[in-house]
Amino acid sequence: MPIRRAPRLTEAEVTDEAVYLNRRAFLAAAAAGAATLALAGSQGSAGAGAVPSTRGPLPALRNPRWSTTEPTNRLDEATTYNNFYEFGVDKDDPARLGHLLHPRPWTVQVGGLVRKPARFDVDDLLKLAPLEERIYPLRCVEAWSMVIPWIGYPLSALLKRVEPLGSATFVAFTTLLDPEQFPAQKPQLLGFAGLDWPYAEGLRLDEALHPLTLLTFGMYGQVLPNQNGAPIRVVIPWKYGFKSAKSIVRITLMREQPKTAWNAAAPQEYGFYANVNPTVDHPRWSQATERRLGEFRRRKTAPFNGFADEVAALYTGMDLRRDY
Amino acid sequence: MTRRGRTVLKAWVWIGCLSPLLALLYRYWTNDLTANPVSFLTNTLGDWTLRLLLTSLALTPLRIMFGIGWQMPLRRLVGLFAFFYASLHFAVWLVIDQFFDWHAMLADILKRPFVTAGMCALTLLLPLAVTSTAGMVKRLGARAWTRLHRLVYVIGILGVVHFIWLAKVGRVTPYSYAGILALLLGIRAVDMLRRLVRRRWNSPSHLNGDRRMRTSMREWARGLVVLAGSAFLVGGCAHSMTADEKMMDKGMMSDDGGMAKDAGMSTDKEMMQDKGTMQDQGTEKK
Repeated sequence: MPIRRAPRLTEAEVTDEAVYLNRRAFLAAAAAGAATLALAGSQGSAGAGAVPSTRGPLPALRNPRWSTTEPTNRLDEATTYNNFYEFGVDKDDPARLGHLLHPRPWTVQVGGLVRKPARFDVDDLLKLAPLEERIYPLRCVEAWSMVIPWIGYPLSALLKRVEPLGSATFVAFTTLLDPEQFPAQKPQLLGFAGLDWPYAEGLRLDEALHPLTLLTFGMYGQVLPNQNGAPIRVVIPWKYGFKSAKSIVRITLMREQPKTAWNAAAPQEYGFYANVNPTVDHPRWSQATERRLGEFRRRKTAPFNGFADEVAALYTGMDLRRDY
Repeated sequence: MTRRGRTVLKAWVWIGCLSPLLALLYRYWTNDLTANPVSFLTNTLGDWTLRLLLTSLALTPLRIMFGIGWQMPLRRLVGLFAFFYASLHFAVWLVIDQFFDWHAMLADILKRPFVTAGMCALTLLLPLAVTSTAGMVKRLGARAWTRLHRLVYVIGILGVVHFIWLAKVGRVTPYSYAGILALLLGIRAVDMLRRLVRRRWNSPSHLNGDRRMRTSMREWARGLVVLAGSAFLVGGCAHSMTADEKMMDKGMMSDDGGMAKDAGMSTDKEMMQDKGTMQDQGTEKK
């Protein structure tokens, strides 16, 4: 029945869109780039009326070294189909309720086992390293995927700034806890807690320092929309999407493996590592294939989401069936 | 009810049962099937299967509780629509999602408990749909036909379990469906036991010898099984929900089971008010 229109966009269309967006990013960069950045920086702590910092173009040059060449999904696909449980369990909740989140002013506390702990304003973080565009496939643990052009820089740039101590082996990310902005965090929503708030995720330090791990501020040439984790999130493209924590307020380096939200909620279903792995099924469904949004047929899932060459070495000697 | 009244009533049921499908078709034409149309179609069709199944199971309890009977002839129609949506739900999985990948589908049926439960429910629905005609009732004989169609209780439980097992942590709707089902089966069980007790003490059946007694014992056993099943369902829900039992009342009272989603948007204060009214309704009914 829906076959006639199901592949709503042909590959050509998708590519056009990507090219279009890219051109816009370039134009923006050429015309107003420096000015916008400076403006964003100065308005961060001022708060009110900081329009350019919460929406609008975010210029960045594409980094082909760390990008896939696959066609990107449409912006509206990436902004209307989200898992962001702070807004609700349904895919359209984040787009519907995203306006409740106020991404400015926003600070990120970076601490734990580091020599120079610091609290950063997000607008200062924007200027910490040159922004790049990275096109990554995002593979959800629910067996769907999309390709998104993210904007940010490697998380390692920030971590090196605070100088991790030798004893630090893990990095924990904490998402904002504020029931006023995240309605699903309100206490005892019908008695169904689901996840423990605040949302917590974590990486091994070597994973966090990998050049693919992106501290992300924007996508599609724009500042991150609220439903995609504004104003600052991480993107770890070789892991299932839930590892990529959104709306981060705290980054903590630690000795022990941090507790992570989905792992705590259902340890047999969601591992700490959560590397994309077609040979290790979720207990309730197969991970061998995925549905790329906009495509008609399922496609095979690639080990490490296609980044095996880059990251497989991080896991030598590990049994990825056990450490799923 | 007059013949004309029945016709009008049935026409409305047709419209009501077809409207979810029409809504889907409209969303298809307006390109509004979300970014993941396959998943949206599967979920919506599955949801309506369960809603109609629960609706068809709610008609008899309406008679038991309130003594109204005009809705009884609608059981077959609503039940058949439940089967219709179940078939569409399966067809989307077969054709669009898996694209006739028999190997993957068989693996899913065998390995994934929620798929197993769903497949069992659909398979069991099949003989009920086939024997739904008046001719078949005659051919099978009313007793055998009734006994066969008690399968719908098993199907209801399998359907709800299918939903619970596939749902993600934090989703309320499957448990509200389970609560509704437990209520509907529970009403039947209590009614059955009540009638048994009444018959046993008011009639001289115990004078009629062994045969009657055996039948009565069997009915008792049947009633107990239904009751135990309902208790198991309720207990399972209560266990899964940890804290708040009022939520189940909420689920049971809801017309379409979709309330959970609406409630997700409401503020705490509204929810409190909601709960208040739900409780009031509950006491009124008692």
